[in-house]
Amino acid sequence: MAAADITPTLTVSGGIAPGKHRIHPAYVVMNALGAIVALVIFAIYGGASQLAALAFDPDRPLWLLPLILVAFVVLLGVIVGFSVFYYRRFTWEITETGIGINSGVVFRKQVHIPFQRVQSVDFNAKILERILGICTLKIETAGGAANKAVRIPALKLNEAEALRAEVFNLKRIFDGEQQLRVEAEIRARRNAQLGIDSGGEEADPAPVQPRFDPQTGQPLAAAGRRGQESTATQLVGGIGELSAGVRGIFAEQYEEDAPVEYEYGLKASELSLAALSNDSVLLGAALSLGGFLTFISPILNLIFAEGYPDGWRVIQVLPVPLLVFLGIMIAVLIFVFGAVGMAVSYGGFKARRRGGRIEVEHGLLQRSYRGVGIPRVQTVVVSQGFFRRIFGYAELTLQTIDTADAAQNQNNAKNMATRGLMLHPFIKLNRVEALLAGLLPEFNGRPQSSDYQKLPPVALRRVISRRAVLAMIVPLLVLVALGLVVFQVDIGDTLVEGLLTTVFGVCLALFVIALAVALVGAVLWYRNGRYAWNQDFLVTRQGGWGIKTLFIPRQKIQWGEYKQTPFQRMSKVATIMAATAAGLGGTQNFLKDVPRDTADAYRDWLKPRNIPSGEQIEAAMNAVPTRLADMG
Amino acid sequence: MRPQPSRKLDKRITRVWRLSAFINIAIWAIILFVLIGVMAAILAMPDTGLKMAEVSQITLTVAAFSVAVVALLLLVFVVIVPKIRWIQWSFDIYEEEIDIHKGIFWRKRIIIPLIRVQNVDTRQGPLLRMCGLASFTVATAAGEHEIPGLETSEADALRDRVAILARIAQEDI
Repeated sequence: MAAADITPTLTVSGGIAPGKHRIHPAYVVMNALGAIVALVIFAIYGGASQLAALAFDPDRPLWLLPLILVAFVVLLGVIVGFSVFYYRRFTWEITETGIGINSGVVFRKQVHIPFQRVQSVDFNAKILERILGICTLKIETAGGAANKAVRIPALKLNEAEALRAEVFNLKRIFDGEQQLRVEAEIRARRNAQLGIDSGGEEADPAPVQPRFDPQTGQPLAAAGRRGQESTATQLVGGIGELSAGVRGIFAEQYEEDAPVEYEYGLKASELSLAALSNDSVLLGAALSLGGFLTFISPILNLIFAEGYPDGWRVIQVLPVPLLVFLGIMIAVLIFVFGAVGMAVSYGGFKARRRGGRIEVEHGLLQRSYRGVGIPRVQTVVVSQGFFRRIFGYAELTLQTIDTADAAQNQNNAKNMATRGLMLHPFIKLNRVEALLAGLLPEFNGRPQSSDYQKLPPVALRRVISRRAVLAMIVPLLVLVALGLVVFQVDIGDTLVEGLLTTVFGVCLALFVIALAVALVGAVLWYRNGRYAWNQDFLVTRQGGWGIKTLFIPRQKIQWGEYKQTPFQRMSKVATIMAATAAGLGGTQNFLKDVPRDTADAYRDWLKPRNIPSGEQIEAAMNAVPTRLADMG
Repeated sequence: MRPQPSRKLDKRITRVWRLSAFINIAIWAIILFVLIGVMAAILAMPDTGLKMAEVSQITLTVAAFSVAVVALLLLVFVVIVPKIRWIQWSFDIYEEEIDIHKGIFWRKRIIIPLIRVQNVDTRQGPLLRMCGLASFTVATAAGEHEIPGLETSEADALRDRVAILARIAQEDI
C-alpha cells in the first residue's frame, strides 16, 4: 500500500494536484449505512415473522437471539472491513496522458483512459451523498456495449468538478496536439522528399477560441422574469434554486476558469407546466381512473347486490356519484404524484455550454451532473407530446452515444439511451432556435422550416390503409366472430346472453373509437410529415397526435439506406433511413413514403464527398512545397 | 431508380443458403416427427379407448399433413428463396463507399461510407468453407453489414483502403 504517494487532491488554485489521490473516507460510512439499511430491510421483510415467532416462543434456546445478533454484527463487520480495504486500495490520478485508476481488494485492477478517448464525465449524488457533499463520478469512452464506463465512488463535489474541467481541458489540448502531429508528419515527409532539413518551421499551436454567439443575448433565462410569476411557481423555483445551491458537508466551492458560453435554467412556470403536461403522467391518471372504475364495480356489486353478477343489476345498484368521486380523487392523486415526481427530478435544472462540452445538472433531492463532449452528440430531438403541442411547447433532448455501465443492468441502460440527454423539458417552440444557437452553435447550419418538404399525396392513402385498414383487420374479424356468437348461437341462459350482449356493445364502441383515433392519427401523420436536407444536416419530422423532429448531422450518419415494399414500388415512394451511433449499438431513424426520386437523391447525398484518394494525398503533399518554393 | 450495382455474389453462395435452410428445416422436421410419434404412442394407450385402426388413421393424417408442410417449406426456402435472394443481391465497392442492393420483400439499397467503417472482418463457417467461400463483414458504430462470398484478396485490399481513410478522416464519434 503506497500511502506515501497520496498527495492532497487539489492545488491551491483549485486544479487537480499531480500524484495519486484517494476517494473520500465517507465511502466507508456510506457502505456501512447501506449495509445496515439492507440488513434492517431484510429483517423486517424477510425474517420478521420468524424472528417474532422465535422471540415469543418459550421453548427457544437461550443462545439463539444473541447468536443472530452476533451474526448480523459479523456480517456488518465484514462489509465495513471490505469497504475499508477497498477505500485504502482505491487511488486515482491524472497522468501525463490520461486518467489512471488503481482499485480492487482481491483482484487488483489498473485502468488507464487516454484523454482523447474520454467522451463524457458525469457525476451523480444520491440524497445521502448530497448531504455529505460527495458524488459518484463516471467516465465514459467511445460507445459500444464492450466499453464499460469507469467509476470513481465518493469524490467531493468540488473535486469532481475540478476533475471534469481538467479532463476536458487536457482532452482539448491532446486532440489539438494530435492534429498538429499529423500535420508535422506530413510536413516532415514532404521535406524529406525535397531534401530539406526539417525543424526550422514550427507550427503555431492553434489557440482554442472561446465561441461567442451573437444570438446568445439571453443567458440565464430563469433570472429577471420571476417577478411576474405566481407565488406557487415562485415557491417551486425557489426550492429548485435552493436545491441547486446545496453543496453538502464536505464539498467546498469550485469556480472553473473556462468561460461559460451559454447558460440557462428552467423558469419555475416552465417546470410546473412541464410536470402538468407530461403525456405519460396524464395517461397514467386516465388509465388509473378507468382501471379503478372496472376494479370497483364488482366489489360494489358484491356489497350491494346479493346473488351473482348481473350486468344490468350492477348499474342499478351502484351509487354512481360516489364512484365517480372516488375515481376522480384517485386520478388526481396519481396525477399529483406524477407531477411532483417530475418536479423533483427536474428541480434546480441548469444547462450550460462550456468549451467543448455541454453540462446539464438537475434534481431536487438526488442530483445528477452530466458533462457530454460535443462530438458525442448524434442528434437533436424536438418532441411534442399531445398536450405540449396544444400549448405550443416542446421537449428538447439530445441523442448521444451511450456506454454500458458495469453497475447497471442492460435494460436500464437501454431505457436511458432511448430518453437521451434532456436539454429542456418544456420549451416554447419559438425559443428552440435561440437556445440551440447558444448551446449547440454546431447545429446552426441546419435547414430552416421554410425549406421543409411535404410528403407526396400518395402517402396519405398509404398511411390510412396501413393504420386504419390493415391494422384494423384482425380486431374487425374478432368483432365479427364475437357478433356471430352473440347473435347467432343460442346459449339458452338469458343472463349470460345479456352479459355477452353488453360485452359486444363495449367491444363495438372500443373498435369505433380505435378506428376514429387511427384515422385522425393517420391524417395528422400525413399533414405533419416533413423532411429536408442540406450540405450538413438531415431533418425529419414525423408523428400524428405527437410530433417528433430530428436534426441529424450528415457527419454522424454511419450508414444509410432506402427501401421499398412491392406496394411502395407501385406507389413510387420509398422509406429512407439514417443510422447514427446514438444509444448502445446505434439508432436507425426512418422516414416512410418519400418520393422515389427523393430517395435516390438521398442516396447520392449519403455518398462521401471531398475525401482525398491515395493519389490525391500524394499529389497534395507534392504540390505544397512547390508553392512554398515559388514564394521563397 | 438508379441502376443497380453491377457486381453479383459468387453463384456458389446459393448452395450455402440452400444447405443451411435445408439443415434448419430438417432439424424442425425431425422434432415434428418425433412429436407425432409421441402423440401416436399416447393415443395408442389402452385408456384412450381408441381402436388401433383409428389411431393409425389419425397419425397418418397428421403425418401426411406435416409432410406436405415440410415439403412446402423446402420448396419455398430451399428452392425458391435462395434463387430470388441471389438475383436481388448485388453490390459495388467504390473508393469511398460500399453500395448494396438486396431484399426479397423489402428491397433495400444501402450506402456505407468507408470513412465510417470501424473494422473489417472475414469470417468462414463450415458451410462457407465447404464451398471455398468467405463472408466479409464491415462494422460501423451503428451496426454491421455482411457481403457473403468475397474473394480474400479483395477483402485484404478493402481492409487497406479502410485503414487509409481512417487515418485521414477526422474522428467523428
